[in-house]
Amino acid sequence: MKGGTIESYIAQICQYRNWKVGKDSGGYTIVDVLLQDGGAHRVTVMRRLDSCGGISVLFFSEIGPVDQTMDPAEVLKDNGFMNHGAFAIWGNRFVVMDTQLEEAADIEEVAATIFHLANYADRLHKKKAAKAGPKDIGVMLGGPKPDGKPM
Amino acid sequence: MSAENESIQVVMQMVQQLCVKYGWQDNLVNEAGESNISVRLMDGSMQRVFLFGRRDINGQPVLVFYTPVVPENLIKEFNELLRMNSELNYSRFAIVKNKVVVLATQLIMTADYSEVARKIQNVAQQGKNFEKRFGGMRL
Repeated sequence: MKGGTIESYIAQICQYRNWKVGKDSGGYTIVDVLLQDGGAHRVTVMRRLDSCGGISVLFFSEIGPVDQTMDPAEVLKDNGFMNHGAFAIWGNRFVVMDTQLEEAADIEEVAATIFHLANYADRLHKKKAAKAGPKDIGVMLGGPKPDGKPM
Repeated sequence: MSAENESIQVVMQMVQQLCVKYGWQDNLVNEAGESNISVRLMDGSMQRVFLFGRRDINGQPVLVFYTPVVPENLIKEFNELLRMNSELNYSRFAIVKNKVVVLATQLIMTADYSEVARKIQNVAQQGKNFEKRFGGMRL
């Protein structure tokens, strides 16, 4: 570490940027990142061991459930273009995540990671909801399917 | 030399030093303008890792490390790769030019010796693991 712990970095970042920090029911650190549109998106932070016995700090932000609204091959192509984090499936949820070697983490990198993940996830969450929305509403109202054919 | 070029040079020197330290073969910026290194794995085999630079959304230079694993058309279950992504540290599966690759990125500004080493080793090792599993690529 470069002069602090992950928790101390997150506390400083949240104070400076006016983000909310807390713990979830599992005891993991959660950060509610303020976005430019005034909304917020949550990033969860946890630790795990890497294959060399080092500690890897994992950051992830949820996009939504795994369903037909995201094409996994396209998502993997997007992973090739991303500079901060990557798309993954965690349980039955699409997430965007990133990891850092704890001993090498610094405050600028932690702040950039949390900010980028929250923004990616929020943008994708809205895009995903927009794709799923009309279909769901159509089905609820008993209207035609998105392909125009009667149900 | 600009501060940015200087920082890229520092990271490339870092990679060269890692090559010397771990006995990797470096082929940094060859005639084709492409850089790659052959990383020695725990079982003694070598895995080629390619490097290139690009910028993030804030204009910050980023170094990308990747190793090809298998052609995209040999994969039937892409969700499985996305599931495996959640278990990887410092790298991820992606599709680049119709190939499944294991890839990692490093913000140049915050690059650290141990972090760069861990990312290169991780990309190489995971690439080898999944190459075996999926049949592999010849380079």
